[in-house]
Amino acid sequence: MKLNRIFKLLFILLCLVYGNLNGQDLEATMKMEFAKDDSLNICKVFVSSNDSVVKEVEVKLYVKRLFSLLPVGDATATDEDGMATFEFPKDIPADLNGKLLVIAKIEDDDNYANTEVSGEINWGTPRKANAELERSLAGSRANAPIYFIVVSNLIIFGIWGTLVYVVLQLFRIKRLGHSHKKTISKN
Amino acid sequence: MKEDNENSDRRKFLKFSLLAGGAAIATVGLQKSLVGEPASKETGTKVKVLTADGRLVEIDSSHVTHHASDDVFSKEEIRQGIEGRKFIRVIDLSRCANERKCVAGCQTAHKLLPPIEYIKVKKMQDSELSAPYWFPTMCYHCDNPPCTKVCPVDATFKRTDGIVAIDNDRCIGCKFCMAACPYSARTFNFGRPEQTKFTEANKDSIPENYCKTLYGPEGTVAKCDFCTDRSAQGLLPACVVECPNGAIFHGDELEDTVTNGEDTYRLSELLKSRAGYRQFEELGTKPRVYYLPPVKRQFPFEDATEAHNTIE
Amino acid sequence: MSIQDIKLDKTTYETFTQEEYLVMKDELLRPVQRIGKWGKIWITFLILICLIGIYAYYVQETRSKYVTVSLRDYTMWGVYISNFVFFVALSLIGVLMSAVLKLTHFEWYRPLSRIAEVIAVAAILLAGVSIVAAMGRPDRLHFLFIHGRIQSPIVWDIIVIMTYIATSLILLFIPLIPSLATCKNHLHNKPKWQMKMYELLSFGWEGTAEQWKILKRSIRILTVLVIPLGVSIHTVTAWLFATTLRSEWDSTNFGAYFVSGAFLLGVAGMVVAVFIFRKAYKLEHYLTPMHFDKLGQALVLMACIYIYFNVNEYLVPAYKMSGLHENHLLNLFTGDEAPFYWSVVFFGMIVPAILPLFKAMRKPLPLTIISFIVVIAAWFKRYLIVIPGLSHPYLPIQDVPASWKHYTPSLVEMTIVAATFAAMMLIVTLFSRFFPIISVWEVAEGKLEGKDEIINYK
Repeated sequence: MKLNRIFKLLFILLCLVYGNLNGQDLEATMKMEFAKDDSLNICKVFVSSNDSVVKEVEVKLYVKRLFSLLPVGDATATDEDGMATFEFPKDIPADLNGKLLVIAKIEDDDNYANTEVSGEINWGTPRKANAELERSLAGSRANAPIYFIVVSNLIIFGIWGTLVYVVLQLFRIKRLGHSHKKTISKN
Repeated sequence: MKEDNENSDRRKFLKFSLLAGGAAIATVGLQKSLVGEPASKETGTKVKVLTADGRLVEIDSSHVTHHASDDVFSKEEIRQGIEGRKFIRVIDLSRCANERKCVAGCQTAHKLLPPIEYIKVKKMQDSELSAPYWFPTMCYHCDNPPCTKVCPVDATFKRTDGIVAIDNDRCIGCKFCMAACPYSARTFNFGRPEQTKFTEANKDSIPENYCKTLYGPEGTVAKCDFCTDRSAQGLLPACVVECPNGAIFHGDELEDTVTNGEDTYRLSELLKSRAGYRQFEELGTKPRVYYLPPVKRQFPFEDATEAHNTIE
Repeated sequence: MSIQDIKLDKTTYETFTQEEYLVMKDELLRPVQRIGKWGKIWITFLILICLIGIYAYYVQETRSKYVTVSLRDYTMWGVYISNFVFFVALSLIGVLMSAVLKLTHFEWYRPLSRIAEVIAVAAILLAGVSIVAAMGRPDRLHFLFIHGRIQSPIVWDIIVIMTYIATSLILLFIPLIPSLATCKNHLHNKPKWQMKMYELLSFGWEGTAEQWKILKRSIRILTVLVIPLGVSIHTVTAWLFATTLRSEWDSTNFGAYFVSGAFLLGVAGMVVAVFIFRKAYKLEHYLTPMHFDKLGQALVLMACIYIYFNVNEYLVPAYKMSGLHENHLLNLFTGDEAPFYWSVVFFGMIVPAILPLFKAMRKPLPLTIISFIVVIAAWFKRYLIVIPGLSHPYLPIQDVPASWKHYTPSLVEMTIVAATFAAMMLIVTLFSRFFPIISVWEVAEGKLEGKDEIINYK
């Protein structure tokens, strides 16, 4: 019987070791809610663990960006009801629809494992679609300023037109020469 | 009696421990397979390959070995700006300590050998009485680029995502863009023999912080490209990743966010609170790289102890 | 109309008396008629240098440019570019000697006009060669035409150069037509293909009144056209530098500064060419000491104008010594390039502005020596405009190998530059061996219309 107790102890030890190997603190579950309070946008994060609310746990709020997560507001601890309330800024740029991916995280907490929850909300300022590059001197060939194209072509065709005219005159000389020869031979 | 009991107890213990151990291992293994990385991720892109018996089949590209030399921007791709982005950079001069990890990281990612550098770290001192500081400089991807204005064949151009790109298949090597850049940001491939051999030997390799943009062939111009394909995927450029002090912040102006990998800030707030400025603002080039003045330095200024790039 | 009438038409415009005409014809056709020993040696020598130049270009393109050429990231433009600027400047000689003098009725231009036009055409062609030698990817030359951006100063330069080549060729060719008829009629013992060439190119010239009218009108149109065109060509070349933000080139003065330098080079080049043709082809009757006297005075005038632009370009910024220009100016005035710079200023500007003021210095030989020195100084002046500034960009040059800090032209580059000079002289020489280098009818026309000053003083 003593041995049995030892075995049970070993079993519990094993479970604890196993648990520590996986870095498991207590598991927490988070839920995200969005609400409006007068003119303010509020984001509420509810933290619970095994059906009981979790108090005094720091929750950080982020918005997903291309390269990283942008921190929003300050880290807030959950109150007695397990709720961390964040005032959400109204001026965060978002995609074409104004949609933002908001992420709430518990990070590096002493008692609880790293958890996160995310939610989408249309609280971002929607961006406009990429504008076409306008005509400029720095633009591509097709994007040259109109006045530039017009004036340069006028000058080029004006001068080359004169050159073509002069060359045509040469051929007139040639024709005159031949007709002159004919006149002589006739006489 | 006692012996029998002990034997059976020992047997029980052995059985139990094996069970417990097996269960532990099984659980861990199960967890890993549920949560961890799958062996090979399907990319969803199909490629056509020829099988050993001569059939043309289409398979997912993850099954085909990746050769870097297959990664080329097509003629159209290189001129397309990434939709919805306007890349921007902020460099915190109070953090730069001339570690030159950015220089080395960029050279590795683009398969360059010294002395060819897209990003340079210079010692600047604005006047006799003002303090010296280390100044990382690269192509600023200006909004009014003096280089794209003068290119005779449209080989360098401004994209909608802010990046000033180079089409190496178009460049005729006149070097007018190099003459026009007031920041000396561009470099020319004169065909330095060591570099040519290195490029050829490594054309299939995938280096650390791999960036798809090729160092152009001999007779063309090259420069910092804001690690275009990495930025498109949400990967930070090599220099940003490699800086041990996090001096370079890279981001998207439309998202109003910049990050150095660890710290993320709202661009507008950062520039306002830290008095961001642009180099040679008066030239009117409208660079897309802002500098934060070296106030409240993280460490005192230290002169360079060794000469760099002395080999021809 | 009888045959008698036609003959009268011809002789009216060609010369004064029949004997004088025959003498003139013989003298001016002699270089075409016969090439002496030294003539052949000269042509062979030039061809040899051209071939060596072609080989040097082959070496440059097949071996790594890092090894064959001294260009590096900071000094990315070198002697090819300064040589290009020099040849574009030289090509304005046609504008000055042929067009400007003609329209302002300085009649002594008449024997010089064809020499000037040939040098102009040869120079601009070699300018094009020099710039192609500088390209990193000459195999993509056609991209300039199919992908060209109208906003780029290089494209403007190409357009203007091509227009100028066309105009100068036509302006060289049209006044040549009557001379071609003379060649056709009076040369003997020449290969058949050559005679056929004269026949074809003379465009059926008979010397009738109507043909003369058309010829003169065409020349007049082109003479007027070539002046703004020639000024444009060098202004646009100046803009290759002035459209950049570099402090050494960021000057509103650049267009006029370059054009005035081109005029100085044109006069100096003309003196050298006239002296050589005078001696080599024994044309002392037509290229007389009077010409050297006038050219010497022109040299003083052009040098003074060039000094004026140099003062505006260098001394005014030096007064302010703005931080942007400081490095470059001090480098030229008191720094590494100082001995070089002041020699060029002295020999390229002071000497031609002062020495030819003395009549003794305007004699053929002294003036030719002065002009030769001016031509060499002019080449180095363009070197000083293009290259030293590149070593002092806005952001300091640090952490680079030694060869990146300072540019010294490599052997391959200098060989190709020498070959461009040889090629230019070869084109001029070959032209003068196939066509008379002095335009007989233009000389005769002036004499006939009472302008005695063409050859002799009164």
